[in-house]
Amino acid sequence: MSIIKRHLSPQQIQAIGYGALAVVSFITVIPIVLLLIYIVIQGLPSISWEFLTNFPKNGMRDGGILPAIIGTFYLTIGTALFSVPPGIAAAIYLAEYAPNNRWTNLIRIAMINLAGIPSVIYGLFGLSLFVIFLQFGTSILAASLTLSIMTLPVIISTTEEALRSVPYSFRAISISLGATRWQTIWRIVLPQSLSGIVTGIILGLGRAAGETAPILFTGAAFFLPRLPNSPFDSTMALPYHLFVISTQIPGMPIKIQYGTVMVLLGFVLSMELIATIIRSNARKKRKW
Amino acid sequence: MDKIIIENLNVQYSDGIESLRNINLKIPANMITVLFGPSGGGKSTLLRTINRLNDLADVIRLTGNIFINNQDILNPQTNENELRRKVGMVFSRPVPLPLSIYDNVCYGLKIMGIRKKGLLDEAVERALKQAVLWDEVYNRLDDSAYNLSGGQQQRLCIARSLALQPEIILLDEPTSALDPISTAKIEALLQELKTKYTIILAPHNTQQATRMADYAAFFLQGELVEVGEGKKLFTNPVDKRTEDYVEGRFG
Repeated sequence: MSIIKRHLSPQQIQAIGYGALAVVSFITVIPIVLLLIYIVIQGLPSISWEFLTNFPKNGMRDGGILPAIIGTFYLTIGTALFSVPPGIAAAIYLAEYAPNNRWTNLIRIAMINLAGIPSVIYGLFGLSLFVIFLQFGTSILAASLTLSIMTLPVIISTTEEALRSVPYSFRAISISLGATRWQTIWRIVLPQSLSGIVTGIILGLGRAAGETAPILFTGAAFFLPRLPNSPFDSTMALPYHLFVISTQIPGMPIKIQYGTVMVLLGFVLSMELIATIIRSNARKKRKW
Repeated sequence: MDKIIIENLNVQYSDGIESLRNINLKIPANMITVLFGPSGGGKSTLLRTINRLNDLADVIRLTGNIFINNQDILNPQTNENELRRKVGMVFSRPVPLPLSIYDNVCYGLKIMGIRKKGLLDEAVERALKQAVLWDEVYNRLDDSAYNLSGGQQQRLCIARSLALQPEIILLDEPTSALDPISTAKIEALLQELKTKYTIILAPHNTQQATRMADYAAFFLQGELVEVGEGKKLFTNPVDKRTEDYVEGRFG
């Protein structure tokens, strides 16, 4: 007999514990759901074909947000161009070739720290390196490169993780059948980790698409009466446009602000949705 | 005739464990040579050294020679990819590659750059028949290899090695994850294959060693204790340690 008398059975304690955890997890979801509902209610009425396909008018107090949508699209493509190939290459090196030594540990530590640097610092770095030193000017090119540097650590670490999730035994088998390391990576490891890599890329790009600070000094325009027609043009972009119409213009109709929020959020969330679908499809197909 | 001649072989891993010490062993052609002994004895290490799969591991010391067809395969100038085509390996757990049955069998051939459908078809059929798997899979070659049972998967892995028409087949506890019926099939298959190939088998128990050995080598803690004809080594061992192990006094 224990000295302390039990009032609750272990099963009851467990039920209470589970219940508490469930309530807490539910609470964390509430703000996100409320936020989304609120934005959709406020923003949906202002979404129209005209809003999506017209230039802003009357000092941006009227009209649409086409140049910002196109600009964010360009910046996302540019970021993908500059961050995906070197990101995947670096991840393959780290996961498949690099010896586990002080040097590669240093690279990993650097990457973890890079991911934690405030985005405005990337912006200032891009300003001094790409805009001024390399003389790209405030341009899509400079902004894409800046966003790429910010996105690289995400792509490298998610890709490395995806490569490492492919069982070592596949590599041993492939090599025991006469394949080189590269043949093994190309024929077995990459195809098996592709969905994980694509998911990481999309998540990284989705984050880049929503960033304001890195493009603030490097490529974002307050207002452009035309679409950019070269990589050396500056461009309007959704996150910066949102900042402008929320803080810089007096008498701004709230409709347009919420409409812009909705488009930006829709852009980023649909990318994450695609990533989620790819990942769950691949998990279902995987046999090992 | 000796197919493989191992001279003064020492292998040491970076964690400090000396895995093989001064091994001298001649492995006859067209027989099943059984490497047996308690785990940690160095059987796997020896197998992995013969097809240089140990290149992937943290080996810090590797001295001695292994001659196959009078060529020292430990010489850095030996092309290890060609060597591995000549020396097939089957692992303790069947690991099909995440491909179809067909693509598993012709994987090594495709790696070599063989593209002709006719050649590949022929090689796949021949290898699967040799591995006594053809009748069970011929109508679903495009299925994932993971739809096969464990025993079928292991025969697929053997077929995958055979497709390369190797000279030597190394098997590291190939039936340790299989049921008795599948095990019997694999053992019968090996008896069949030895007429064409040199087979080195590290069984996972002494019973299988006794059943399969034409020639046998007893390994204990990285040392080769005793070598001899299979029946003789199990019924009439010279070394006390071999006798103790065979009779189950330790292990």
